[in-house]
Amino acid sequence: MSRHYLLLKAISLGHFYQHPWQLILMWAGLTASVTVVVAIYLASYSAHQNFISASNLFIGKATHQIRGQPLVDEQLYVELKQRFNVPATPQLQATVWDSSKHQSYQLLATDLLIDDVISSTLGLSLTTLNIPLTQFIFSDMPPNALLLSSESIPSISQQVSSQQFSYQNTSFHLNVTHLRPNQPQHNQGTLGVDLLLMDIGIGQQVLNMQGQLTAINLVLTHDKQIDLLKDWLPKPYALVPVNDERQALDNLANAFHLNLHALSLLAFIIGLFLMFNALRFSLQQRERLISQLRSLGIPSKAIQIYLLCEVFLIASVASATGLLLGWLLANPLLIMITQSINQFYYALAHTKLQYSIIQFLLSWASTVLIAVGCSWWSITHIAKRPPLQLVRTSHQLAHIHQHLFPYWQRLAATCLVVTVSMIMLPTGIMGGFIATATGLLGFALCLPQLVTVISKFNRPSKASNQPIFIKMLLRDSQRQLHHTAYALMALLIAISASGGINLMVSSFHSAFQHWLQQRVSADLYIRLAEHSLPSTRLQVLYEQLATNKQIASLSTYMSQQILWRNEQVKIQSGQWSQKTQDSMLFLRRPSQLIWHDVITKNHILINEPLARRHQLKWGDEIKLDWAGHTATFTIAGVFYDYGSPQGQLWMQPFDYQRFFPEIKTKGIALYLTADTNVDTFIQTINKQWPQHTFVITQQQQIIERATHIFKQTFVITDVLNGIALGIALCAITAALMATQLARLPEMRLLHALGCNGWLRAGLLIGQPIFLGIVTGLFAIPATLLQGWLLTEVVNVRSFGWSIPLTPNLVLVGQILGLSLAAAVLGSLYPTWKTLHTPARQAGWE
Amino acid sequence: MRQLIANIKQLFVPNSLASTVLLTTVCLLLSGCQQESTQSHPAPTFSVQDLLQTSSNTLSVFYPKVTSPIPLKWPADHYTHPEYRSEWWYFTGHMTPDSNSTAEISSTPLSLGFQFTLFRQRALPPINSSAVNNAWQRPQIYMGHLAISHHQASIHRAAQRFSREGPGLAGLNDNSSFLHVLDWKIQPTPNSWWPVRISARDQKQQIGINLHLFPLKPITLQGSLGYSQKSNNPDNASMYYSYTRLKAWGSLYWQNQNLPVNGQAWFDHEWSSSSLDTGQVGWNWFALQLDNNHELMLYQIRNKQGGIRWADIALINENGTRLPIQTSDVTINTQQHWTSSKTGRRYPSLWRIKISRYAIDLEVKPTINDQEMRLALYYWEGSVMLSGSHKGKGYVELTGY
Repeated sequence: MSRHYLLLKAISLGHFYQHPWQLILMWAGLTASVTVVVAIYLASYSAHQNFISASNLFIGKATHQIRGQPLVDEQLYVELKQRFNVPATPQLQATVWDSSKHQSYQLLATDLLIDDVISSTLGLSLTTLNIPLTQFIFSDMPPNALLLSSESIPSISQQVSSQQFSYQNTSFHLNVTHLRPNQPQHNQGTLGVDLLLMDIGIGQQVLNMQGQLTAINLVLTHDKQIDLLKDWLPKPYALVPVNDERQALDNLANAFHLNLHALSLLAFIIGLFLMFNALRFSLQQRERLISQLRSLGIPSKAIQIYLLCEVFLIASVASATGLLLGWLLANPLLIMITQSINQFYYALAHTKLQYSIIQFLLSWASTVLIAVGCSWWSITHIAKRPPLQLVRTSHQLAHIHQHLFPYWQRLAATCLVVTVSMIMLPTGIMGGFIATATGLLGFALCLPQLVTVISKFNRPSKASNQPIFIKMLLRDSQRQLHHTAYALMALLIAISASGGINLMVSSFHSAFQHWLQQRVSADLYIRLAEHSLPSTRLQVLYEQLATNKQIASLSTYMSQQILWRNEQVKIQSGQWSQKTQDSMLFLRRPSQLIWHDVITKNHILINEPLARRHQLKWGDEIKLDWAGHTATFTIAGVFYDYGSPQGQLWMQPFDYQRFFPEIKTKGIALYLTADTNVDTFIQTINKQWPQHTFVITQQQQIIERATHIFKQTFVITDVLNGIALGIALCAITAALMATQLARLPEMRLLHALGCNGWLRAGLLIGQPIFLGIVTGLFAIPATLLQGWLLTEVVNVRSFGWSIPLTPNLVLVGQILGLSLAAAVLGSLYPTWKTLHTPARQAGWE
Repeated sequence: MRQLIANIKQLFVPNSLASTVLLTTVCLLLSGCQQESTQSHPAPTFSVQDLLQTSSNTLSVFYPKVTSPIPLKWPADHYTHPEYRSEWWYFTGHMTPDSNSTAEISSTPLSLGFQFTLFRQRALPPINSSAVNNAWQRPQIYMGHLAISHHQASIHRAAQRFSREGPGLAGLNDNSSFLHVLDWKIQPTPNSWWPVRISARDQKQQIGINLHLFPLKPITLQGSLGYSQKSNNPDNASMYYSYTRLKAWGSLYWQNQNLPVNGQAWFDHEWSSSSLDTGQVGWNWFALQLDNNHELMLYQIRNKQGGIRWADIALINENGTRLPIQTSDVTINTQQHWTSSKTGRRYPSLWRIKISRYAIDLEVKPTINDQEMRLALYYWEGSVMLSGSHKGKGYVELTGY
């Protein structure tokens, strides 16, 4: 047996020595796909874990929070502990600013005697720190705060320094001990933010919140406890299930992550195809050799085992390489993903890559298993086939292949039926992705039959004057389908998928621009600077501006977040001028009717993402229950909102006041008169108020900024799309090149029969051109279908945005161009070869 | 246990050991210990010996010390003495249900013992009067222990509460109407203290008390007019008084049942800023109520080798008068030991106490062997029955084993 393996090893190595590109293709295909999958998975997983870490920081093991409007009286906490003795901790949370370092910190003050968040945050017990704990907790003596930062330098760890911070225009000093949070073994659970940790007494003093808390964290394990608390809780306070809230926030980004994973899956499948195709071609080329070996008595099992080992080895190396490259690519990808999440969903400050060795090992093992599994049938089939059957002519292969067509047609029909079903039925986001996949597959499976039909359709009658070159081209195309079919199908899938994504993005861009231009209609937008005092100054400014003759009209903005149907929803309101009202774009109903209902009947508006997620429409009722207030509202209209997938409602100010009595104006929009100079007006405001009180933004700045953010969010999509398309084109080009190289003996025969180089070159290039054109043309409807599915199905189900599809001729040109380029590139080397190889040279490539 | 708190002061000594001990205790008690469970048997983070050892430090000098008898005023001195480092209010007793409808199958009447203690510990000495800027910074920490022993079922359960004083979480409330730690309370009668109501319940352990107490005898000032020395160093002392026999009535909560009960109890109140000497590791403390209406209080402080370093005794007659007696008049022999299967600690579990001068020859036997308090501190505190020359009941506390 060992002699057989030695012989097989020598033959195999000899084959790859002569055809190294096959080995390279197998390795490269799998490596590239694993790289993309691993990079996206790591980045997505890390972003998710960073979110969990950051939210655990302030919530810890709490299942619920009591929140006030806006604060909680500490006597409520005292009464809670005396009445119920449930596990509860008081909490003060704020963002403070260090002007010397130009950095913000999250301040967390809690009862350090009881809060076990501390140990999970620090990664060790408070008591193991070298600080006088009783002074730390019960006095103002230094140190009185811990500064936890992943950027803390080890050399200053546990040293005490005095630092000044500011909060809402008041500043205070803290004597901080610098700590680096404990880094667990596998780099998991790391801190998401820079944290200032202190006892609650200190926190109340420095934040000037004596007697106040921002929340009470609770661990409630029984429904009875929850009901008792809800019955007891006084009116202004709300008991919020933080797990549900965190889950709702987490779920917001689910669609985003799912889209990324779908892209990575596409890349993986294409890479796997590349490997599979290269392997298949390699096996086909070795059929005669295997046949001879079988005739010499080497058992089929030995051949099968050896070939599987060959695949295992290549897959192992490729997978390991892919993991390494994926890990390297994950970091920059994580930064891009975090930026997108920050723009759309929630603030996530930290971009720490999180992974474990076990994850890598599992990924490696999975990839190798999949690769071996995919190759199993081909290898077994070739190894077990009787020797004589391994030696077949090309004609015989083509004949066998013809029998597959009916099956492919049935499969294509099934795919298209599945696509329609996934669209018509409420199958969610996954159903949308399945529809895109089956749609692509359905089109792809029709392609070989299309080529056959076109070839037969153009087959001339016996009396035809069609040039022999054309005859040869068409017949050759049909004959070679058993070689080229898979590559062509893959080419169509890759181009259509990529084209569909581009079409979706370009349509989205157009819709977004139109919406933005309409929505950002005011000349100036004013809000408070981040570390400035809250609403009182803005309200005073509003009252001043209301009588300013340079202002044609102005609007105010207010907003609060609540939990509704397990989702974080933003309630908006404000005094809106007519121009602001006119800037809203609504679905289906005329704007005048909608605003009439809002103003006269106290109806509300909801945004499209919220409406789509909950199947709401004009005329439906929704019930809001917050902080002891309950009210039912009728929906007057649904407005387009491409700014965020988060659900939003707009209601009249007096309805808003019922839920949120502490009204805070968060922004003002100004419409200036035609003769007012914007810059001069801004200067006037800045002169009247202390520096850095307000942030004043012009209309064009907002539009530019929003456009920049929009483009940034699609950078990931563009990058991944490009990578996937690049892999696909390489794979297909290589596959086509392989088939053309396989035809070189035929070309030598033609050469020997007297065909000149131009004719031979023409055949080698002409066939790919023909196939490329057919594929490209057929890819156009496939691309349009993909684009439609992505905009009308996937996008709507993922984010709730409906986008009008806007195809253009440039896209058509791109599809055809890519298709032709992939096909022709694969023929260049074989063409060069055939032109420079003498007719008498034997052997195959 | 009263001595334990006197020695917990070093938890609050601002050095790393004491701070470690305190905060680790607190963190252990409260991290997940809002649902305290003796059944989970958390390993203590420190030993009683660690608590009891004296260490010198600069800040301890700022605590006022009990160096001689302090004139006491009532009812004011029943309440808190916040400037001192440690203080506790300690209730023990034996109760029987009002009716025997819930009696066990055994022919002996149902009997339950209870212990309810509120401890106060000051975290920082009163160095200057304007130190506290915020209610949360009041440097007082309160701890409550509750234990009930069901003698017939041989079941003992314990629970605890822990809190800083904060803005009303523990301590004396604003109008001085009660002393509490979270929801466990001592509610004295305004302007007189007695009768006092004690209430505490732990749902997880299914135990609770809601009792009224009234003294049947006058106050007993321990030591010399309440000045109770703990070692050869006269600064090492506390103010300590007892009500050795109280009438108690109300209800006990046991396994989802509220049992109307009545019986007799014992009350101790002690405060100090002193500590045990180096080398002293624990004590045995006895509070016994004899059937001839006499009471015996006796404690022995042990060293590492088990030898007695200090002791004190008080024998009270039916009128509440202290009878003349010295520690040399009494012999205590340990007859048996019991080893806890949960913690591995070996406690004495049967004693013979002889006071020939008063013809007292008692056998003191725990009603249940396993009355170990497995909370953040491990110690044995349980009800005992007396036999021999006199019958009776009592409570014994064993620390430092």
